[in-house]
Amino acid sequence: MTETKDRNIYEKIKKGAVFKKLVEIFGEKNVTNKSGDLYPYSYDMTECEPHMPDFIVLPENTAQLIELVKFCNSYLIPIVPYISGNNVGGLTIPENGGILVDFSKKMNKILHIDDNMMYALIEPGVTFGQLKKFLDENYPHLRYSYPYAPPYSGVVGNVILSGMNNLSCKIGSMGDSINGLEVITADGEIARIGSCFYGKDEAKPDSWWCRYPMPDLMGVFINWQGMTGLVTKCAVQLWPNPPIKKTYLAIVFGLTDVAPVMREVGRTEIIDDISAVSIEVVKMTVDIPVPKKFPGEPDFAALFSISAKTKNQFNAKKEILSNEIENLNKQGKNVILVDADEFVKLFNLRVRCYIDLPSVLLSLVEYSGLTWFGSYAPSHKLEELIEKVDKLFYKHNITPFIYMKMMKSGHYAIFRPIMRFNKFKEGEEERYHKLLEEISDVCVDLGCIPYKTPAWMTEKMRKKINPGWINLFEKIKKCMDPNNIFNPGRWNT
Amino acid sequence: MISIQKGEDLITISLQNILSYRKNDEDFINLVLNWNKKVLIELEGFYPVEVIFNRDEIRFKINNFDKKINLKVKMDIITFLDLAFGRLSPVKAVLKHKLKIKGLLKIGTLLKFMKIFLKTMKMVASDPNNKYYELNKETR
Amino acid sequence: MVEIDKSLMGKNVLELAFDNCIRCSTCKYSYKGFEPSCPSGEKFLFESYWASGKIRTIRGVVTGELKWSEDLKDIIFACPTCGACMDACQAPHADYIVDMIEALRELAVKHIGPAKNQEFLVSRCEENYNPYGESNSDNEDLKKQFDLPDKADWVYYIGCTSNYRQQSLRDSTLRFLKKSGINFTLIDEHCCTSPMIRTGQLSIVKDYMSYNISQIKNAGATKVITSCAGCYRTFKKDFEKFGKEFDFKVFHTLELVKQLIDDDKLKFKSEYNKIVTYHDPCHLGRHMGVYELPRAIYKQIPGLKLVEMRRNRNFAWCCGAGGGVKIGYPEWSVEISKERLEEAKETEATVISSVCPFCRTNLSDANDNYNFEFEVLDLMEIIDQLDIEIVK
Repeated sequence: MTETKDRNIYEKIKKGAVFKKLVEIFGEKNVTNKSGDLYPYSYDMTECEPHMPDFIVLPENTAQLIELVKFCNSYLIPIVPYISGNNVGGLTIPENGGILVDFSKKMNKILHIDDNMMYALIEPGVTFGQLKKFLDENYPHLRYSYPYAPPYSGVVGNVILSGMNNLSCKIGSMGDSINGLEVITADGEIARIGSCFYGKDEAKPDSWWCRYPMPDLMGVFINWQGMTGLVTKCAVQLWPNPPIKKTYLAIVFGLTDVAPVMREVGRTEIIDDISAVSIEVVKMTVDIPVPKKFPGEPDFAALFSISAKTKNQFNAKKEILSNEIENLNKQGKNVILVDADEFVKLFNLRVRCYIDLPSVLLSLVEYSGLTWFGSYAPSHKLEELIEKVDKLFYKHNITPFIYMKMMKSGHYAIFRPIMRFNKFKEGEEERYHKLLEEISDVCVDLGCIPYKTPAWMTEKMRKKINPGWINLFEKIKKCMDPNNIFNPGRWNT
Repeated sequence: MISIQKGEDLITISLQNILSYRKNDEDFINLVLNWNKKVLIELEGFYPVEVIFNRDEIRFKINNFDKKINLKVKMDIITFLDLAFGRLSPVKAVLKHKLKIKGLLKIGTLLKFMKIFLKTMKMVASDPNNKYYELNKETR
Repeated sequence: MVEIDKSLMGKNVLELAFDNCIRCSTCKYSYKGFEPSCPSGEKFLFESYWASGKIRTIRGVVTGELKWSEDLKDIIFACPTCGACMDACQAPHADYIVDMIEALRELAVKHIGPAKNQEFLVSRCEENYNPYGESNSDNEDLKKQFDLPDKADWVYYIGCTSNYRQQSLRDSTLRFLKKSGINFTLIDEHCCTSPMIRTGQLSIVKDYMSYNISQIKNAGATKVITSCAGCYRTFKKDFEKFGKEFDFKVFHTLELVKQLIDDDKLKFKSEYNKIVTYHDPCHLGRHMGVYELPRAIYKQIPGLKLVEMRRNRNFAWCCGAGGGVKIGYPEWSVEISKERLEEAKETEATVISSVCPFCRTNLSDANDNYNFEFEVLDLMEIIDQLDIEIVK
């Protein structure tokens, strides 16, 4: 651990001089230090403590960022990357002040779509909605994978923080779908990582086709929460967009039975995406803010997305899915499989927010606060996780909200208990934080690994992680960022 | 206008959604107004729901059902969807024992219920709009 | 819970800013269309200029975490309150976002005053009952010119922009109303107070509303018709917010036109052989949900080919005049209109038409400033150019 929150960063250089330098680099209109402008960047939706940045900059290109990094490194000024601030983990709250770099407003170009090798080369500010629109209009035969996140969320943020999207049962973590990165390191050097690494000058647009097989430096930037450098370009894999796409809904009775349903269906290797939510979540989506579960109601709803090139292929997949559900029912489970489009039409169209991605999830925007324990989970432990976490919700008198995904045909899962709360209601933040802490303890004990971790969570995790990992992590951080200017405070650095 | 109780469980949420589709429709209002009947709908695997038509209101009960029920309808969810999406007619559904009706002899009640519920269900199912975010744009 | 100044009209709405909005950023773009839709966000870029940023600003100033200063003026006042954010937002507070911004402005006026030049909206009204500072017209001359009675079933509420800036629109409407045969008159108008409400300067609002109501009552009218989207919205929505009740019905002129067409009473005897694109005024479109009515009328005009701009209906890009922006940020206001005209240029249209005199003003200004060569006309002006027959 190298830092406290009081870095006294303006001892070496006065704030006025910093502002002047920033204006020199970025232009007057792209720099602000006005309190009214800084204020909305000081917080996010979580219960993490707000903290004002000292400056906001809107970069337009890599050259400006290189100058910024060199300058900040000389004066030990923190740099915090920001796209839309939709991470649920306090990752863009500048805990140590400094300069917040807002990529979303100007460094948001889709640079190249490679039709042959199926990837998109993009700047960090590109959002899901923007990418979807571009692909729909120009490359309708290609698709990307979208998360349960608002359309105005960053694609690059999602991939370098190992997001989970609507092709994740097929392709796994989004961290696995990166072909290449261009990064700026603490000394102001640019490095290109991946197949694009050939050539001293700018990489050719068609050279970003693969991450391997050179020594893999990409891992030094994935899941590091911006602690090792600034990502200025990213190539993400695209996928063929089959003409037939269908979603099925499994209504599952029995609190923990959704787990084997997800596992077994995942193993059929025919599903693009498996997501499940507790039934209370379905009700929240249709405008019931504090829903109850009534006797006789199912416990979970799971969505299975299937795609196919031909009708025969689709029918075959559908048959496999139906057979699997039938087998599960023969084993004593109680699962009803229906056409999701049809069911939702009769039930309430608002549930389509889970199907038509990218989309704002209607169960998540009703309050001013949102927090969660979002984790990668061992898929064989899901039953225990559901049972224990469900009990914790009831213990705290908070409506259960559990979201899960099956990843890469069942190799691992996502387990995410979610809490919505009123930030400004007396005692709410503390109450929900307490539940979150208890959930974290239970889940980490069962082997879950949270992603987009706030600092308090990583502090807990550090106590459980093997010393070898911690030492290696700190060595790499020290090597990559000796002055700890890149998003300091993350993972307790 | 017919006022429809807001549903809080899965079945009544669906029933509310379906019946609300025509709550401002004159034909629907004329059908429902003062009909004053009680219908028990049971989706197999779920729980029964009593639908109470009373004057200009439609309410739901999921327990403590009334002793006098005018009509009982039972089917599974697949049949429910098949009827809504026109893959199965009510007559065929009854003949195939997929739709069970108690009170079949009260033809008047049954036919009216079909007009109120089944017809509305089919209208909801065949509405091409899937964009929940574009509903009520003209009534802000 | 925080304490909000009880004397504020918008107190309840300011409270909404606290336990709503997670800053998901959905307000920034048209929902699912993903087109730029927020003029202030697109111009100034920092988070504070988008709807979610403004909501956070309310929290800041009310809790005292943000100190009042001149620096806050642009954040608070550089926004045409077009409502694109309301349309895009999918959260329960969506319908109140513009109300929140107006309430924030009311609060800001108390602490730091309005944006530059916006104070003239009130001072001019206090002298001449209109925000343009023109000598007040009691409309008696117009009554004589159009041979109108003192009392009638209908009052044509002209509105300040039509009366003092877009007289062609006013006169086209007057001619149409005469031809329509409805029994109407004019009143001595005070400003509907829309400019004051949008800029948080509420000192004269209730008095002016009372005055207008009494004038309409004295005219014996049970119906009010206006050709201004802003006045329409103010009468239909804001009067109630300010506790001003009335028992007359309020219509926009295009409702009358449509009714006459539907009743087969209005016949177009000549053609309008031009390609026209329709600009949805924010106060009629997003604020009042009226999108198809004007389009239905354009489509009835023989020879007129209606083409749509890329961003239309609830996705329409604002003309930039509203929300006090025209007077507070005049250059930027016309820049916003310029973007709209660039969009119109992408269609084959030679005429850009709307049903709001303020849109007409700003689109015309951009048309002239940037040499776009469009004809900028209100629907009533187009109809005025045609031979029409109205069966009475």
